[in-house]
Amino acid sequence: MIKRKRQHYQSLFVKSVAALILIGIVPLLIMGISIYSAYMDSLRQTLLSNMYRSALYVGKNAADLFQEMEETTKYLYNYNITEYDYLYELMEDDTITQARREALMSDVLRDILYMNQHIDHVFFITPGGEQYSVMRPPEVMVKEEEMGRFHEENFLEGHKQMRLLPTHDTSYYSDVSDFTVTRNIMNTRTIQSADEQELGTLYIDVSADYFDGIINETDLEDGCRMYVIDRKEKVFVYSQEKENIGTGIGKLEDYLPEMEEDKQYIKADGNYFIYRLIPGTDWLVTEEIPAFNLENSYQEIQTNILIIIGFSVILLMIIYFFYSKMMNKPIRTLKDAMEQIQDGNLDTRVTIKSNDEVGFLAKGLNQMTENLQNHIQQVYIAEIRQRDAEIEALKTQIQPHYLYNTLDVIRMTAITNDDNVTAEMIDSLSGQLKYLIGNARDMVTLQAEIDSIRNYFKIIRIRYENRFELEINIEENLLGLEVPQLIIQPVVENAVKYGLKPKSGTGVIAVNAREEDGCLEITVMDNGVGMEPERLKTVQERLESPETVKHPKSKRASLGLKNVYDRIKLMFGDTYGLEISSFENIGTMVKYRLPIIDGTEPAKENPGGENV
Amino acid sequence: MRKKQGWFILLTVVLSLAGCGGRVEKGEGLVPSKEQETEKKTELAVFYSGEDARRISVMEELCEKFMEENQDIRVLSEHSGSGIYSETLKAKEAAGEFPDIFEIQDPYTFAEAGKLGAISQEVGKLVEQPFAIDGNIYAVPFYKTSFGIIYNQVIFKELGLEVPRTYGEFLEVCRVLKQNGTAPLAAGGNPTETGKYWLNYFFQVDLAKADPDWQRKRNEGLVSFQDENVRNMLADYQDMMNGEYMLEDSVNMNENQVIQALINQDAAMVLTEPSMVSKIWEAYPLAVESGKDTLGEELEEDPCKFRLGWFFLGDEAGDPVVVSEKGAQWAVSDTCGENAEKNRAAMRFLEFCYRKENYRKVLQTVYAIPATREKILYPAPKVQQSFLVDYRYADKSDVYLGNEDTPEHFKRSMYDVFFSVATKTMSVDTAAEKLDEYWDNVAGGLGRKS
Repeated sequence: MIKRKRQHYQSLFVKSVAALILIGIVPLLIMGISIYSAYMDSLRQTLLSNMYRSALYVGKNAADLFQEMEETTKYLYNYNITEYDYLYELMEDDTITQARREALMSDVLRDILYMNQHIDHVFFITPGGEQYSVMRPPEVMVKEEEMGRFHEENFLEGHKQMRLLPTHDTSYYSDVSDFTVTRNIMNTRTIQSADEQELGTLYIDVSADYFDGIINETDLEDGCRMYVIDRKEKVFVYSQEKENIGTGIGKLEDYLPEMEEDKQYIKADGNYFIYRLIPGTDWLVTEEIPAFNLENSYQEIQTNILIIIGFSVILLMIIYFFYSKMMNKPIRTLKDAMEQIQDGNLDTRVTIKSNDEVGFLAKGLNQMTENLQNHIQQVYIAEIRQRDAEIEALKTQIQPHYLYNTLDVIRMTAITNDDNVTAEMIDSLSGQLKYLIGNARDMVTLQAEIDSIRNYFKIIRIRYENRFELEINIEENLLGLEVPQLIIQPVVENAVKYGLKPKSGTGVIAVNAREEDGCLEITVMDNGVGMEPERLKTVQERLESPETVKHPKSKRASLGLKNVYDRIKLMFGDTYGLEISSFENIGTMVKYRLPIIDGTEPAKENPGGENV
Repeated sequence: MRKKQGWFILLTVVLSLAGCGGRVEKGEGLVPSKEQETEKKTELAVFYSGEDARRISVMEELCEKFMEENQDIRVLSEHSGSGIYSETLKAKEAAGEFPDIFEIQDPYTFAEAGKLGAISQEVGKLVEQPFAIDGNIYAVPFYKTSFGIIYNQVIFKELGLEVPRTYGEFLEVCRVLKQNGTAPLAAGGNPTETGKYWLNYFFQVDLAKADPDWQRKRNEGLVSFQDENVRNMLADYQDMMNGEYMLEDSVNMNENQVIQALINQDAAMVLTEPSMVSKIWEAYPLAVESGKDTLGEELEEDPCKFRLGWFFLGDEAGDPVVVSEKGAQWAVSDTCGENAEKNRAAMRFLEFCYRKENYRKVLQTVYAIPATREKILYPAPKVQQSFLVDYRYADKSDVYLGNEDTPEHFKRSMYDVFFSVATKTMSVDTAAEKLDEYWDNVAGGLGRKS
């Protein structure tokens, strides 16, 4: 049972289905997968691009703001304060009171304060610790100590560029969160002092809400978060979670080294981080997109694509199954037929009408089976004949010498008694026996066959008191040809038995032989009673009928003829044979057609031709 | 069995294709960023005075052309706008944006402060009189200028006046003009430097002629503004600026108003620099017409109200006073001098500017006097050509108030004082005191406006 199942698995059908699936589905799958992944990639790219644009937008706005701040912080270099051309003149003028100076400074700082709506607080601290501060209303007293501390923490001596300070507590004037823009204002009295001497440090506190404004404009997707990170200080400059502002950036710190400037996003732990460095700063606008957010957005498309791929695969499998089945049907028919033939049922024939190779195979199988069948029949029948002959021979093989010697004794006795007729008959009989028994083989010369007939006829002549004559007209050159043994004698016997004997008076049997159309043609004619047409027909039918195996005891008389007929057909094929023609009261003629086999030529080994 | 394996492999492939996760993955290309495209170029920040719109345009043109020629250099050119150039330059330094290559008016203090980088000898060789300390070249003049009288030939012709040779003749011309109802002179122009030409004329005539080293002596304290000759100079100046020959209130006029006064025949002459020629020409194209018909005959009815004429004002003895003033000088910053790459670029830029075809364009725009050793000619109206010829053959002096010997901080204060003197809001004596004070108290001076 297992073996059968295994056979089933290994059948051509299964193999071809498997092959077709491999050939058809694998490329489909690979193509499908690659298209799927390419599509997903581009989709993801598009989504990320959109989000990157938001980051870009925020970055650009921030950069614009900082650009503006750059100019704003330089304002102190260009400003003409009512009575002074330059700030240093005001700061160095010791002829005025500190209160006056403060008033004038406030005017300048107030100008800066109102340059941008996001500026909350502007203050200026000199190296000497003098503080000038303005803020938007409602104005409160600044905590000078705290402001001084803030200055100390952030002051960088000799630094001339604008700097950005991350979002921090602004407890020195309020409780909001601001990031700060600062610049050391140099004394531009001389080029030397412009290089080395600070007049003071300008601080501009900008509300962190500024980012709220621009981030809200970007229409952030749900679940996405945007923040601004100072990558040097590793703190949040801005975060949508207010409590995070100014604090450490936590796990983001691990990703910072990966955020290279020439790249635009990283994917870490499944989440996407799109980032954009604000030009000219250390601040990164970062957008965090949780992985599920991105995945959700293309879940549906993903499912659809997978369904399409799945459907195609199943459809293909079904098509392949039926196609394969159809293709395999004739082959299986052939296989079944073959199995039946193997089992010995040679009558099996395959009916396949297709014109392809399988059709050809089927035809070939049919032809082969038929040929095989014929061949088997031939060999089988020849075998039976052979056996029959052997049995016949065995019967007569019993002490042939004893028989000959006895016959000789009887002949001598007949001679002694002056019975020459008997003696001659016995001599003939002895000769015939010798021909029959001693030379029992398939092929003999025509001469030997004719001699045997002469011997036989001697007896007949004596037996029927010379009523019958035997005439033999055979050219000398034909006598050396070989013919199957005992093919003429049965016919002569029949002619005597059925043709001449019923007739009163004398009869003649003529045996002629000649070469005709490359065949040896032997005719045996008698001028006996002949046959009625019906009988002739019966005889002819019997001759041609394939039923040669059986021994119909009742028709034994005709067996000899049938035997001859079959033997010729078997030995030489259908081209050769014998035919009977007979006319009532005129006689019967049996005509042999045999191949010309020259016995004088170097003898061909005759299969089974060994003398017994 | 084999088939199962096959499916398994397939599944693995599918899974490996479908998802990779875990580690950090980097990506780009979301939006093509423009910054990445720019290749590495040497950046050269060029800074120059924005006082003259035509100079701005010619400088911008030069920078563009230079960048086309030198693809590896990006020039970031910037001008000072309407502000006082020297102050803007200092503010640049204070803001940490000191340019690489810049116009400079006071190379000495900048060099002293260590702000200047050396200019190569090759570039130095291109020009006449590069500014050098101890053999190191720190500034090269871009072009030179001078000052003289622009007069209205139409009025002179009407009144049969000749170009005056001596200062006496000049005063006579003024008298005649005044008599005929035309103000002989106009002043004004650049508000910060009003009257600087008259001041320098008198400085030349009253002081420098006799003592070219006067400023250096003042530095050493050998002379003083309160000396008799200096007071005389200031008095002469005050008389001229506030005198009868000056168009009323012209001290407070700006350049356009002065030009307008000239074209309207309100005033006949102005002491100014040659670049004024091109400004007048621009405002009144007929000013350069010959006043003759095609046959060379003088037109009977001259439609022109103003035709440009030029002469150098002479002194009492009739020698023309020709001052060779450095119009603008180029210097490179110390950082640029140290950075080989930038230095090479800067030198290439300077060489480019002095190249004949480029330099000619600059000169033509400002009608200036070439500062190069190579003689450069450029197409200009006849009046300008005659000015150039006169200049070339004149006995030139490069001593003037406001040159390299003048302390930088003194300059601005000095103009303030001179303005006060010119408008007679300050007496000559007070002015002399103030000037001495400013000169000595360079660092601590009180710049309070009066």
